[in-house]
Amino acid sequence: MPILLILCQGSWSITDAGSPSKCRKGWFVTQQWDDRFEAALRKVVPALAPDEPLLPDLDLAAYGLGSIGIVQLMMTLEREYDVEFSFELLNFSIFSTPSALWRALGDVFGSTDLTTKNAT
Amino acid sequence: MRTTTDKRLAPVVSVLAEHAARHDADASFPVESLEALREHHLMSLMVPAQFGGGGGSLETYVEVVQELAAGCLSTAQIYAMHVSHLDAIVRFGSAELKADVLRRVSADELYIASATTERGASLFSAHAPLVADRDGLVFERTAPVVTGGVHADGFLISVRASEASPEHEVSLVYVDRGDVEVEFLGEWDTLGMRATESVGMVFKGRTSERSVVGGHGRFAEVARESMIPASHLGWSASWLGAARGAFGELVRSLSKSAAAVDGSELLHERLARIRLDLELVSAYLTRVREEIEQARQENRSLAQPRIQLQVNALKICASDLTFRAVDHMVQLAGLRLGYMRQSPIALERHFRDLRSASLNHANDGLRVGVGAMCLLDHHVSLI
Repeated sequence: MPILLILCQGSWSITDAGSPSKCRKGWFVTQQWDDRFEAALRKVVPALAPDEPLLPDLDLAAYGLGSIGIVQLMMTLEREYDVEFSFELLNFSIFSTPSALWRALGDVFGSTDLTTKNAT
Repeated sequence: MRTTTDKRLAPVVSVLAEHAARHDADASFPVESLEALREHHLMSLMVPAQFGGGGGSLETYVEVVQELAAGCLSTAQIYAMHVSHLDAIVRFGSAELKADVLRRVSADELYIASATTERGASLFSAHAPLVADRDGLVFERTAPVVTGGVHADGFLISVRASEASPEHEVSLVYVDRGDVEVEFLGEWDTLGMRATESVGMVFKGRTSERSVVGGHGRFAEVARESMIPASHLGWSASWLGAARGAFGELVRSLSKSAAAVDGSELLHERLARIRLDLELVSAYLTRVREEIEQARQENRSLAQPRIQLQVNALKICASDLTFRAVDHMVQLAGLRLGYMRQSPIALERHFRDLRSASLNHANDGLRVGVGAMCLLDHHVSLI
């Protein structure tokens, strides 16, 4: 699902891609993921201020995501989406950016739409 | 393989052993030992043949470090860290950096140290930034501990990627000793590992884009794929080599004693405990090394939680078990042979040296990481 950048004209721009969030420079970024994913990710990158957007290509390691944070994140995602990642196939590279992780999470479900997956 | 390595290294190991006690007493760098490594082209052993080096494998590296450690653990660790730095350059250096530095390591047997610690920062974070100016990249950086830094020909230094970067966006840069102003801080007066002369240093220098190893902000990747696995293999091999060397000397000494000839059960039980610890470390070291070799051959990333867990488990187990083995050797050898500085077996020095093993990249933190990763591995996928 592509990310959309829409110039802010003073009101929210809603698209099919998901709910929008406000960026610092007057841009709106529509999330390609749901709020549970966004909340789980923000918890483990404390260097990202609450008013800063979680951009799809944000370098998560640069914002402090280390191995302990990765474990916390994986456990949260497994609980929220009722999935189980294969430990033997896990690779830190899927935690490089939000979009890479979202894609990897999607792979676990196959074609299932994650945004409709209920939390357990 | 081991016999071949033994024979080739015997003259080097004897130089290390000859000077180890004096440099331990003086807390001074083993210059004669490093010179012996250079004479036997060991500094370039792990440089790929295309750059004029020995093209050694990880198996060779682990065996060589073990043999060296039997002579002098400080020298073996200095060497192991040098090799882990080469590994980072080989795997992540730019084509220009490799052509320049690796060829010079091969030609001149250069010694490369690193500065990746900073007060108040973890391995994966840095305060001091790399700053771009009109002529390139400049930095000023303090490191509280630089193993063998006083005598290094070049350095790998971790720095914050830029003034605007968060502290976890870290770059690794290479710099020649001649291109950096250095100042030495404090003294290295420690319980053990005294000959590493790991004093603090201040670096002020200039480098270039081609010397940023792995690209800007990629230090974590370089560390996970290269420096950490290579250094944990090397450290573990060095601790095992020191303990194994001491055990060999102890067994040779005991086998001439009346207690051994008479077959004391207590003696045999204590020998078994030591031997079992060394067997376990040797086996785990071998398996982790094979896992890393296989992943590299298949072009797979080492940044998998399972491999990272095993790489850290190796460091933890090797540091704990080899120290325990030497502690048991001291107990078995007794006051005269095991505890005195003048003993013909350097157990007293090995005991002090190996006490640092759990502190060096501290086991406490590594265990926290291993424990956390256990929560993800519901199937307990052991090595």
